[in-house]
Amino acid sequence: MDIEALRKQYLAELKAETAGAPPPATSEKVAEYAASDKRDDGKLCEMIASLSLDKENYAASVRTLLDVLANGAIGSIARLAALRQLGSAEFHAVRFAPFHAEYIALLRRLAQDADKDIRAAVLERLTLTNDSEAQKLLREGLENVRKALVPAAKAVQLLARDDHGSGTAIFRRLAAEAKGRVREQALRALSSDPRSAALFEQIAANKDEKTPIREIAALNLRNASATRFAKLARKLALDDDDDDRLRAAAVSAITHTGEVAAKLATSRFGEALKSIGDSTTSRALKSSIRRFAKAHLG
Amino acid sequence: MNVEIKFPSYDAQQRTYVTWRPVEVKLRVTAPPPGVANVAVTVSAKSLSPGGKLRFATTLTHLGTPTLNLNLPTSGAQVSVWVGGEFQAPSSKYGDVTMEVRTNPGNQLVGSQPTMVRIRKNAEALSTVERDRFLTAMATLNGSGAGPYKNFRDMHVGGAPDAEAHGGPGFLPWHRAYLLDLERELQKIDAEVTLPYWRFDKAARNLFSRNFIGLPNFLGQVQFNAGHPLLGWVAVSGVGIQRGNGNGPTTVPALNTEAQTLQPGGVLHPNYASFRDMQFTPHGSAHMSNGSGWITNPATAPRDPLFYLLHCNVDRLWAKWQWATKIHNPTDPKAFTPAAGFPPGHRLNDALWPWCGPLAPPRPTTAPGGGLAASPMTAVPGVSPKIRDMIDYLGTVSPTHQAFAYDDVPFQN
Repeated sequence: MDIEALRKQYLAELKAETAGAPPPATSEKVAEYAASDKRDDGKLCEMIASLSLDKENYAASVRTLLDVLANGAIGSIARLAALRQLGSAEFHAVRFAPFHAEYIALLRRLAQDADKDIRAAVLERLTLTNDSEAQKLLREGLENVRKALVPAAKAVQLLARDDHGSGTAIFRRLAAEAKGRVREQALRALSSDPRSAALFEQIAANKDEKTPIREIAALNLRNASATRFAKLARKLALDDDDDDRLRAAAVSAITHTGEVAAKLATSRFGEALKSIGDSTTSRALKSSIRRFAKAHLG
Repeated sequence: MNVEIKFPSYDAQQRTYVTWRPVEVKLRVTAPPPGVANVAVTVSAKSLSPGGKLRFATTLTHLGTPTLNLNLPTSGAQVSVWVGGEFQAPSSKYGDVTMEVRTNPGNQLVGSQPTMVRIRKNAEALSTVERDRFLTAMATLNGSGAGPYKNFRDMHVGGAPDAEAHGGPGFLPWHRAYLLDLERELQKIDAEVTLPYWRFDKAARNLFSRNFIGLPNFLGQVQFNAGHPLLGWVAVSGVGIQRGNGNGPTTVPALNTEAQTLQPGGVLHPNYASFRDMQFTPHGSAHMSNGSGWITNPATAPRDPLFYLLHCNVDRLWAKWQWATKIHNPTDPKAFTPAAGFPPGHRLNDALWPWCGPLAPPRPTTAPGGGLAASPMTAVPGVSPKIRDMIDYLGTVSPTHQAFAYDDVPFQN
C-alpha cells in the first residue's frame, strides 16, 4: 500500500466533504433569532448546535446560551439545546469560570421551572456535582414536604449520586416499602450499605422476587459483605432450579471480585461449575462459567 | 542451521507485540553449515485467516515489503530487519501471524516467531471475542468498585485536577497519557486487549447494544444482557451505570464530523493551536450527545466505561491530524503551542499530573495512581511523562514509540 497516496486521497476526501459548508452560527445571529416573533424552535436548535465555542467566540456564545436557557418564552426543546451546549462549554473549566456562579444560580432557579423537562434536565446537571440546593429539593419531594419536582424513581437516582449525602434513611425505607422502579432505585442507592446486608440477602434468595431486583440485591451484598455474598453466590450458582440470568450474574460477580473468588475458587466448586457449563443451554451462564474458569482455574 | 530471531522486547510470557511502527529485529545464524561465509534467506510472514500481516525492510520505513531477501553471515554476527504490521491488516489474537525465516533456495524453515499486530480498533469492528475480552478486562480492573480502576476515576475529577486535564492546550496530551495508562493496566490483565474507540460521528450499532456498552432505559439506567461482564459495575454510587438515552444503535450525534474537525470550512488546521478547539466540538458535544448521566460532566464521566471509548476517538482524531499534516515533531511550533500565556501543566516541557506526583497549589496537592504504567514493549513515555513526550507517540521522528496505534492512522516517515 502506498501510504503517501493514501494520505493525499484522504486530504482530497476531507476537502470534498467540507468545502462550501456553512460557517458556524454567531452568537449575535442566535440572540437575534431567539428574540424574533417568527422564531421556529427547531431552527433555533440547529443554530444553537452550530454555535461556535472557539476561543474568540466563547464568551459571547456562553452569554447567549445562558440567555436562551433562562427565557421561559422560548420552547423547552430549544432551551434544552442551550443547556446541552453549555454542558460542552463546561468541559473547559478555566474558560467557563467567569460564568460558573451565574450558571449555577440559573440552574437552581430552573429546578422549579414550570416545564417538567427543564426541571429534570437541570436537576440532572446539578446533582452531578452534588449541589446541596438540588439535593434538598429532591429530598423534600420524597418526604412529601413539597410537591415532587421529578418522578420518585428519578429523584432517588439523582439523590443517590452523592455517596456522602443524607438520603440513606429514605433509601432504606423505600427499599423496604416501595414498589417497582422506586424500589429498584432505592436498592441501587443502598449499594454498599452494611446495615442493609440482611435485606439484600433476603431479597436475593427469595425466588418470589423479580430477577432484576434479586440481581441488584445480590450485587449490593457483594459490596456490603463479601463473606455473606460468597455464601449466597455459591448457592445461586449451583442451584439448577434458579433463574439462569441470576446464576450468570452471580458467577460473573465472583469472577471479578478477587476477595470472593479467593474464597470460592476451589477445585470442587470449579468442577461443579464446569459440569453446569457443559449441560446448561443458557449462553450467558456458559460464558460466565468460561470466564470464571479462565481467570481462576488456570 | 537455525536463525535466531530477536525482537527488541518480550513480555513475561516471552510474547512480543508490534504495531504499524516497525521495530528493529536482530537475526543471527546459529549452528551454521560448514564452509560458507553467508547463507541466503527470505524473511516473510505466515498469517491465519483472518490474521495480522507483517512488512519487512532493512531500515526504519513505512515502505516495507511482504518478503525480504537477505544474506546472513555464518560468523554469528547479527543482521537487522525492521518489522511492522501491514497497515489495515491488524491481528485479532496473539499468534495469528508468525514471522518466518526460510533458506533461499530450499525454502526450509530455519526460524520463526509468532506475534500480534496489536492495534486500537473501531468498536464497531471488534469481533465478539475481542469485545468480550475488552469488557472482561475492564470489569476485572474495576473489581467491585475498589480495584485499580478507581485511580482513573480519581484522576479525572473537578477542582484543581480538572484544570490539569481540561484547562488549556495540555488537554489532548493529558488524555493521551491517561488512555495509555489505562490501556496498559488492561494489558496487565489480558495482553491482547487494546482500547477500542467510539467513532461518534457515525451510527454505532454494535457498540450501543446490550451486548457491548449497554442501552439506557427511560430512567437513564444502563441495561445489559444476562452474564455481561459490566452487569455488576460499581463506580461511586450504587450498582450500575447512569447514562441518558441520547445515543442508540442508529443515532448519528449532531457534532463536527471527522472532516469538519480536521478541516473546517475546507481548510486543514495549520497548527495544533487551532486544532485543539476540537475540545468543544466534537469532544464536548460527544459527551453531551448522551443527553444526561455521568458522562455529561467532567468530574463524573470516567464512571462510565463509554468515556474511554469516546476519548480514544478524540485521541485518534489528533493522531489523524498529525498524520494528515505530517506534524509530529515536538520541537515544531506547529505541533503544540507557544509557551506563553498558559498555566502550569499546559506547556511543552511541563510534567503531566498526576503521573509526576503531588504538586504545590494551585496545582493538585495529591496524586492518585502513582506513575504511568510500564509496558513490556517499550520504555516510553516513562513513569512521569511530559507534554512533549506525548506528541510523537508513533516514533515518526523520535527513535522510540509508545506501542499503540490506530487502525486507520498509518506510520509514515
